[in-house]
Amino acid sequence: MAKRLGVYVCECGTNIADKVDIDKVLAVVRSLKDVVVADRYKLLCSGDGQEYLKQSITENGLTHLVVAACSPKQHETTFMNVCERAGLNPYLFQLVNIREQCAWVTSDGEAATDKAIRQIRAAISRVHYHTALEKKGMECNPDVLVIGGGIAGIKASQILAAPDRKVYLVEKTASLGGKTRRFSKLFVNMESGPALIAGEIERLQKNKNIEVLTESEAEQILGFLGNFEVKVVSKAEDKEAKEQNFNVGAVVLATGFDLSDAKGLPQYGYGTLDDVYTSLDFEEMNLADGPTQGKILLKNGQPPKSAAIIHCVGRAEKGYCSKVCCLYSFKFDRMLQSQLAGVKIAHFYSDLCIPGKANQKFYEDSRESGVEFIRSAVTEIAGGDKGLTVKYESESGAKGDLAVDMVILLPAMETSGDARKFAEMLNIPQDDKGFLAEEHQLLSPVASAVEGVFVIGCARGPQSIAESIVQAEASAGKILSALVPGRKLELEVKTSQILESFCTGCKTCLEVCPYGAITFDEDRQISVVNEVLCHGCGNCAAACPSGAARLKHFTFPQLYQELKEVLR
Amino acid sequence: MGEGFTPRIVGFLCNWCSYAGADLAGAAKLEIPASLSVIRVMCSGRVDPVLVATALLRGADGVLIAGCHPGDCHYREGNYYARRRFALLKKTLETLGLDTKRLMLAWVSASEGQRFGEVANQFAGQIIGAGIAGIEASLLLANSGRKVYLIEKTSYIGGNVIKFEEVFPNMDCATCMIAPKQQELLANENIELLTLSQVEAVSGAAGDFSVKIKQKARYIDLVNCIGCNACFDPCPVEVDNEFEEGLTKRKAVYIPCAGALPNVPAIDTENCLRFKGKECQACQEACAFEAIDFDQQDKELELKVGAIVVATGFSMFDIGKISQYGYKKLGGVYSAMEIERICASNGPTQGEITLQSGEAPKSVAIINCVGREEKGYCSAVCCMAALKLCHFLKNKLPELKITQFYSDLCIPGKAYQHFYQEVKDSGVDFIRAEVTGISESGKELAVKYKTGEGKENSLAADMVILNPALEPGAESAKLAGMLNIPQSREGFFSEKEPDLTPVATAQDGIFIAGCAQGPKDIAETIAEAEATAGRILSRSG
Repeated sequence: MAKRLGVYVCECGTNIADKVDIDKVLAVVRSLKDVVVADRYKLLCSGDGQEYLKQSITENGLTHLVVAACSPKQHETTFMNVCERAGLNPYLFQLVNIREQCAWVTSDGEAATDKAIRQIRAAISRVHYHTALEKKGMECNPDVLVIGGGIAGIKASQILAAPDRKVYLVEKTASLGGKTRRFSKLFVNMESGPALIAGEIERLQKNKNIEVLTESEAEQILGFLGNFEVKVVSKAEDKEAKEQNFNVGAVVLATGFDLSDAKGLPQYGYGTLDDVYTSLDFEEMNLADGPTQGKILLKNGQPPKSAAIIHCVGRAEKGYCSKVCCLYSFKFDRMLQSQLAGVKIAHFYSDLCIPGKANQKFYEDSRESGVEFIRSAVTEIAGGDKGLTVKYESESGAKGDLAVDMVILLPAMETSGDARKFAEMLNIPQDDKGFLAEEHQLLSPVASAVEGVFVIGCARGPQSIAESIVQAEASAGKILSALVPGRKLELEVKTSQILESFCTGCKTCLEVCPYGAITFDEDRQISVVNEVLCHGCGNCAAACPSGAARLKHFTFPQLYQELKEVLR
Repeated sequence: MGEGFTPRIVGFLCNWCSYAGADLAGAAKLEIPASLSVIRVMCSGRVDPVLVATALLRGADGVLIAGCHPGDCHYREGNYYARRRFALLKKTLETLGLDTKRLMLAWVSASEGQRFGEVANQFAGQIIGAGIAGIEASLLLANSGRKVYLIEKTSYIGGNVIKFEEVFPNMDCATCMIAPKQQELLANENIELLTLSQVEAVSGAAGDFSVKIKQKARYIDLVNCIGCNACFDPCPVEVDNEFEEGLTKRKAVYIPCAGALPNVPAIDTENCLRFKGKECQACQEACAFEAIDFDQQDKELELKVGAIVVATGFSMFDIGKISQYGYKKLGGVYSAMEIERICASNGPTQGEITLQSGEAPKSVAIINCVGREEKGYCSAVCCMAALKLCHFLKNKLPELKITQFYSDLCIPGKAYQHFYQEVKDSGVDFIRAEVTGISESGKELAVKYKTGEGKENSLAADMVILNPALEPGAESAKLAGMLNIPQSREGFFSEKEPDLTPVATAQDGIFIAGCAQGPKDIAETIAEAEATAGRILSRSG
């Protein structure tokens, strides 16, 4: 079919018309091959202007449209919509910027006109090489897999589940609740962890849209956003392993944390001296079903008269602050004081980390109740006949020691051991501290670099229960917004394609793709782009040595035409 | 190459940052060589060496590749590939005998119109010789199919985040970072943005709220105005620009800063001569688009909605309350926000760090925790913000001596301690002390402080930056009353159950997110905004 190009130059009131000699531009444009109509208009983005364009497309039977006006960032969408309304594929159109990048930045009218002519010619040549592109949609599965049955995983499951959206909650151990279930009290308001979890479990059991799989692990997850294939293996003790296969649209990782190993820091005497405990040990001690039935006791069976709480254990080695330890240490103060009248407590710390509206008061209450805060570095916990001695050094260098019955260490929090397994399975980067990395530290705190996979809770960094719950709800917000049951997933139109006949199988494109959107087809020995994951950046097209990878709408021939004309 | 030689340059600009930066240069009416022709690509990583070679073969005198700053690539790492390719290309061309000064790779962010101008002009010269919780929640809800009304008190979107040049811990360019979200918001058909609007009354319950809005007239038509800014010059009125913390002036018809969106001015009726009864229509006469309409009226709207999200952000503690710090009395004493604007490339000094004398400071003292005792809480982000300022200032002025005064270093989370260490290693001093007063001492300032042991001391500095506490937004109490949700003792909106339902309030269907709920950083704010969307879209009951 013969090409029929229409070219329109917008005056933009006086903004373009005052600087660019539009009649001169039109004279040049009209002489170009395939240009059947070229004209000027006062303001093309106005209602009248858009109607004018639409009419013109129809009346002139245009096959391609070029508009020279403001920046595509202003009105590319506007004019693409006009094309659609006129029945012209919106990708057979090019908007030339002769305002922000021409009329507004060139004081000499002649130079501005020349530049405008060059850029418009570039667009006209380019548009000859445009192809019609269609919007694409993909069926997707709205169900969700949640890995990790702690508070974050539980909350995510509850908020996501609906009659048309099933949630699979997979938990490695026999019981849900993670660490929270083993905290007799939660800061700041001292709620009961076990009671909270018991309530959540009851709600979960009543929810027909959540399938809880305990003593289970996801062994294989293949696929991409909207279409993951999952294999879960359940193995209860003494029972046979059971395999389950199902499809989901999104995966939420909530694998939680572990405490770093205090035994690796011998100066604290953990594991060698009696009555040196980690925070998790102390939490266990306070539980009714714990080793001492909830009573705070020393190894000799007696209640302690004094306790030292050592902050920042392992902080220097790990290289980060674990955020919640200061706060839960004040919780420990209350737990000690409520059981042991007159107990003397001393905190050894470097910097208090108590951000947020409610937390300073929590600290001040501890201090006012007689708890001592000694800003210092603890050099050693020594044992002896008379109990433990905390040896410390203040910031000024002064040395001191304090005799105590019990020492509670607050070790750094790390991501749980399972994180690595899923990081590898799903190709999610771990940061240099081992935590699962977010897509963007500021703008996308719960999404991962892999579309459709979310990371929440302590799996991605040390944080409080409140923050973990926020992230659980945030991941739900993102999933509920993107995967709507019955609605197709809208895909990027200007994606990359790899032409089989040109591809030599060098795999360079796989390495440069920031989204992991390219896979290698071993049978055909060529690279293949997954159009669901492709964001259309064109890095593969630039890297491909054989020209097999082509970015739609930014192909080499198209860009070459622009180059050719601007350098005329 | 003799006189009259105009080098022909081809610029490959990436769609997200440098093309936008070039547009901004246009909006600012900078002079860019007409011989620079622009070819837009989605990512600087799209530019393959063959394109560059082709350009040179076809007669380009120079090729410029411009992309997002490293770390800010819209496609995550595309610009790293561009950088690598470019390095190799330069080497290759050198081997072929080509003058590598004809090739240039530049990082130009969307807010760096000025810089684009410099790069574009420099290159030619070289040859002869480019508010977020609400936005996030709106986008998630709108993309799921819900209709969203976004009510904004001021005339622009982006809130406080667009005031920052760079944000911690990765020194991302704040405006570039949120520009795509802002543009998505403005283009989204499900979102009705109501600027210059405030809530007057709320009634009803979850699923069926009735909200009365008062929208002040902008007096500029949002459709007709094309954002050319021609109306500013003729306006005879000049007042302090609040967005710029009073460091510069604006007119009565104004946009808070270059790049503010929507790119349509508003008329400040409190200062506009015409609205004070005098004769003046200078702005209207200068407008070629019939965009200025003095007959616009304030509007009252009633909206029916199913849920409400409060994302009203923060304001800063009034430093003037601590008179011994000399704020607004002594020259050289600035608030952190004033310094943020001074650092900004679209700010009052285009990013030049100078004292009022016009000279760059040689020594700076940063005082943290200003107002902490008065407010009774730690504002969570200031330590990191101060570290960011150190990083930024040291980069701009490598010889600058910086001392930070603080009580407790609050740098929680996996990424922040590393940043602190980097800043410390760059030579910044940290003194744990209480600052008791700031006074003039000859041409400098004297910072008097008391350490933990009670020792009194004094430090001389050219410039003092005061880092104040974050408070809830100014209208919080009024809004809390209208919505019938409690405020905490500190004035922030209260969660229903503080530890367990951080974004829900005592009223079903009303949610809170971001600094309206309590001081927090950008990542936590975005997470809370997404969480409100999660709760609203959830059908779990």
